[in-house]
Amino acid sequence: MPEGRTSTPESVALWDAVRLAGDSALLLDFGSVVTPEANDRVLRVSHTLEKNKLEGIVGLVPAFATLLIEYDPTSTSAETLIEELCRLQYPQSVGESRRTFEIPVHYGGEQGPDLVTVAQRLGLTADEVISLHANHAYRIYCLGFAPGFPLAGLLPERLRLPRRAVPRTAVYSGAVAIAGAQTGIYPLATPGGWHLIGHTPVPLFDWRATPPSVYGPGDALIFRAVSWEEYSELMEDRRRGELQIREVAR
Amino acid sequence: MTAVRIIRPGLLTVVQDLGRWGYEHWGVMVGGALDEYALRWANALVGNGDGMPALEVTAFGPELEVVEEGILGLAGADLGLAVNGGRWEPGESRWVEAGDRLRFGVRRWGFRAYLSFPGGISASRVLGSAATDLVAGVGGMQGRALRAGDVIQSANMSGAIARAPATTVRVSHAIRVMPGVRADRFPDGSWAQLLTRSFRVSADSNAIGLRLEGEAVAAPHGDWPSEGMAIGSIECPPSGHLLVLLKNRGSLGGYPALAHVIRADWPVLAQLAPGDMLGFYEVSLAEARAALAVLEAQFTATAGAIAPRSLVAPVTGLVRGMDGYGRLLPRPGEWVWQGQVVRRVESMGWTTDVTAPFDGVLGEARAEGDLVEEGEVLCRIEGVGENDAIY
Repeated sequence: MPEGRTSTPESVALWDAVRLAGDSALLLDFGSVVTPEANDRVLRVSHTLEKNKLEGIVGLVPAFATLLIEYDPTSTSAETLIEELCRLQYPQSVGESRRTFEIPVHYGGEQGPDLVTVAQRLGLTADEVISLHANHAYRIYCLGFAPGFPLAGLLPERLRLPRRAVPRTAVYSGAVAIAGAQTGIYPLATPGGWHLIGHTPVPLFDWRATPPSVYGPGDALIFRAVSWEEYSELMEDRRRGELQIREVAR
Repeated sequence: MTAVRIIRPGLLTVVQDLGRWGYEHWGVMVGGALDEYALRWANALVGNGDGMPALEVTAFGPELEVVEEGILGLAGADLGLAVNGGRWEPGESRWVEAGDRLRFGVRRWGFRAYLSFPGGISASRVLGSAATDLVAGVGGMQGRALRAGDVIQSANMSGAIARAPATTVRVSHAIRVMPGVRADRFPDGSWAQLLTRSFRVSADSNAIGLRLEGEAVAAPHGDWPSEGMAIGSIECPPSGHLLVLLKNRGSLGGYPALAHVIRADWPVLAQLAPGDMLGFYEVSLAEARAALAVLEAQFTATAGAIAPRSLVAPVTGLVRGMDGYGRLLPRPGEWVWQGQVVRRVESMGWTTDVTAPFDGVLGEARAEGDLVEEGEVLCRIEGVGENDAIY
């Protein structure tokens, strides 16, 4: 599409439908298919609402192709909010704010206990799974499930597996995982049903920082396979508090 | 300061406030007190603002020992609390003495009670809230449920003693709903099935959601991307066995929402116990709004009518007539504002100020030079009018 056509004219609605999610939330629908373009429209609205604090909005949940807007029904109403949403000016694109972060990963072994079974079920070797997963920029569509958990994708078709039949009650922090068309990282030790194929030493979520997560929806992650030696050095850096997530040129 | 030590923690006792709102786009859940209405009442009873952290006690409560005397408030479910063997019914705040034993016993009705402390509880705040997030392990008492040996302390010395004129908990098995954002994905008949059946709360339920047992509802089949799930959403997995999401839900969900419980009835969901039966009733947005307005108006009127409120002496000592700057303190009949020092007590060279918890008129009050005992009523503050806007 020529550059001049990619921006949506203001007269064209960014969302397809507004739905009432009860009496204290609205769900904006941006289409039924997960595409970077639909997700961009979600983020254009979500970022605008983060900047322009509309009276009564108490929470925003941007997802793949929807935006949940939670509000306090004692200080605003669905009608007022919808009117304000239609009046706001939205940017023509998500803009220059997109960044790409490199995630060093040690694949397999104790750090990636599901790598072997994943490879078997996909009819691949472990090395093929690694080379399909690494060195590819995955878009973060949204954060969810757990604080700072990036839902990124989309995985190549050959890497897609349904999630585990029985979720783990505790997944260790830093676990790199795949499920369906998505890949993600467990920033904190939480329960989880994804396949764990590796581990990153990089700290991802800091409750005391503002914002607590360096990356956000619209950013991208590139996984880089590291040797056991490099992994051990990075873990040592982390213990000393000297390891930070690294931004790379896209 | 009121302080209590946990002797036995009970089933699940956690520090909660109104929740960690505004960070869901980072994957942080809201959480907080599941019954906001009872939490607000618990706070009102000790003269606090709405959102102060309190203890949320679930089903089988703890045994506590008072280690520093002071005021405590109780609202919400009746979980059979007794002080030194004497009953303490919800809807009342009291002065407790060091050595007093607070023991929760047999649950009578409801499922969650709230024990409030003057000025709230001294607890760790994360992203602006003291709410305990057990999944992420943050907030409240080191991000965990209370254990034997933990000591919980109030943030303030002064507080009020009051009795609620109305019930501080809403128990009902009739839950009002609006059609879900994905009702259109369901087969014909699912909505009618929701409204014409009784469901039972499963023992697998928790603070994340209520699992419902009963005949399965006709479920849609398909694979949709995860989306933001509003609190109170009734999700339908392919099995057709419904899940009602409470405030501790993760922000994203994958199952389509058949219905949403209206805001006014979120507190009612929090008081349902495993085994309880429930049924759903359809309302419009206008009816949902009216239901919440009525509830808020009743709360404001009744919580505001806990007057006169008694402020008690935080220490044994002499009542002083001036504040630390030499300004005269108010006399009975004078207007006082929230936060204004109304009485000062001197004890062994130390002075302690007692402030008005809300705007009102100073009622009966101990005079300068009087000797007051710790826990004795120091003064009363009368609300103004029957609808004085305290909240």
